[in-house]
Amino acid sequence: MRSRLIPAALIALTALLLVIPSTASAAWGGEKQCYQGANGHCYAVDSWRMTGSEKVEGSELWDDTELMDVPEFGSGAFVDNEIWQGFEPKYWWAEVGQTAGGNGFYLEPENERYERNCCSLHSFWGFEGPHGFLDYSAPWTVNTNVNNVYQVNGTGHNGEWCVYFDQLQAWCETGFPEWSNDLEVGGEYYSNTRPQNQARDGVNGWWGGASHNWLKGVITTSTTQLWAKPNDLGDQLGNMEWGT
Amino acid sequence: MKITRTRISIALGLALCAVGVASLGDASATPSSTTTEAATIAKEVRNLGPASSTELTNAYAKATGVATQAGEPSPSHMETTVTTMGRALTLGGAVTTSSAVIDPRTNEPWMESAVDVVTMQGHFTLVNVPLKEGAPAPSGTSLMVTIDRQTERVIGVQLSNQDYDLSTLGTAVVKWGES
Repeated sequence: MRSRLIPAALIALTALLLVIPSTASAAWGGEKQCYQGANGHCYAVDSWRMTGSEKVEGSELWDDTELMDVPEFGSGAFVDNEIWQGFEPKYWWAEVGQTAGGNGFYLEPENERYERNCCSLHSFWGFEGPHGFLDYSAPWTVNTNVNNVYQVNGTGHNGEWCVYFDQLQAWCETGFPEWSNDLEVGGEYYSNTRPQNQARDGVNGWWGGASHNWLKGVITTSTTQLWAKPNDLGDQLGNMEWGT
Repeated sequence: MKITRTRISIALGLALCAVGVASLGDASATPSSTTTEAATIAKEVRNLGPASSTELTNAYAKATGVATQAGEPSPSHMETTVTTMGRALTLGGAVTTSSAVIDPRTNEPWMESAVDVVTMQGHFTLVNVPLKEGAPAPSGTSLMVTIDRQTERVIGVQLSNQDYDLSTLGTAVVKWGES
């Protein structure tokens, strides 16, 4: 009897192991599991959720990635250091910044021509809005340890919002609200293992035809395995440093 | 759905001539017509060569890979063409705007760089793309994949509930047959 139970138990144990989702073990982040899945995106961000009469017509980001290593880039893992210009409560946004790793599009090995690897930075932008979702990354690289400048601009007040690489307009999308009521800056992490990232930024918001310091800013991280704090660029809200 | 070398060659020949019908697919596929304008290609699209069989195969493989990741392993109505980055982006319904970004590889405007575009239909949800914190993963029935020709790398995805109409671009459209 006992000799029959042992093989049966082994079979049952093997079957159990086979059906356990791989993400259960392939994750990091402790209390907030970070992994490559719908609910696995993790963030270290400074947010200005606008209330009352607060609203902006654009923003500017000085984006300095000091350290970047996404070992699982071949499986689509990525890390972004960026700014989001939000239009709540629609869950619409424009985003621009720099990305490394797989950026999710396609599982492929290292691509030397694209410099698709663990660590090279590519400028990118994305929109989620009336025309659906779009996300594009530049097939050339930008440097680490410098302030790469990005902008989001809706100063035409006609529902057209444009993203900029440096001072150059990269693309525009239409059909958005005239004003934005949400700004967020920092890092996004999509990986089954903990990547290495350290970055710092300077930001401002635009309204009244001029740039201004953020009026509010709340720093949060999805998990204690990410960190974020104000940086040494003065006490301006939104200026922070963050990483893994 | 499989692409055979013979069928790629047939389609390639047709695409090279920029006339006629091109169809890629398995034995059960039904050929479908394409609209081509060789003069338009030459006049409006700079530095674009016709798709080679390698590029077609690469585009198909990468596009179906993206679709699979988006939860749709069997997309339908797959089509591809070669165009410029800027023209590809207008397919999403945006008003055409100028873009000043220069591609440092060519010192030409990035929007004039050559891309392969693949469109398809199905039920897609993109979980592996940059998202705003708290936002749901985008879903839609039409997916467009943009591949940079120089690097053969997927550099962009677009997702919507409205079809992307490649015939508006004026370049030869290759349609993969449906199984």
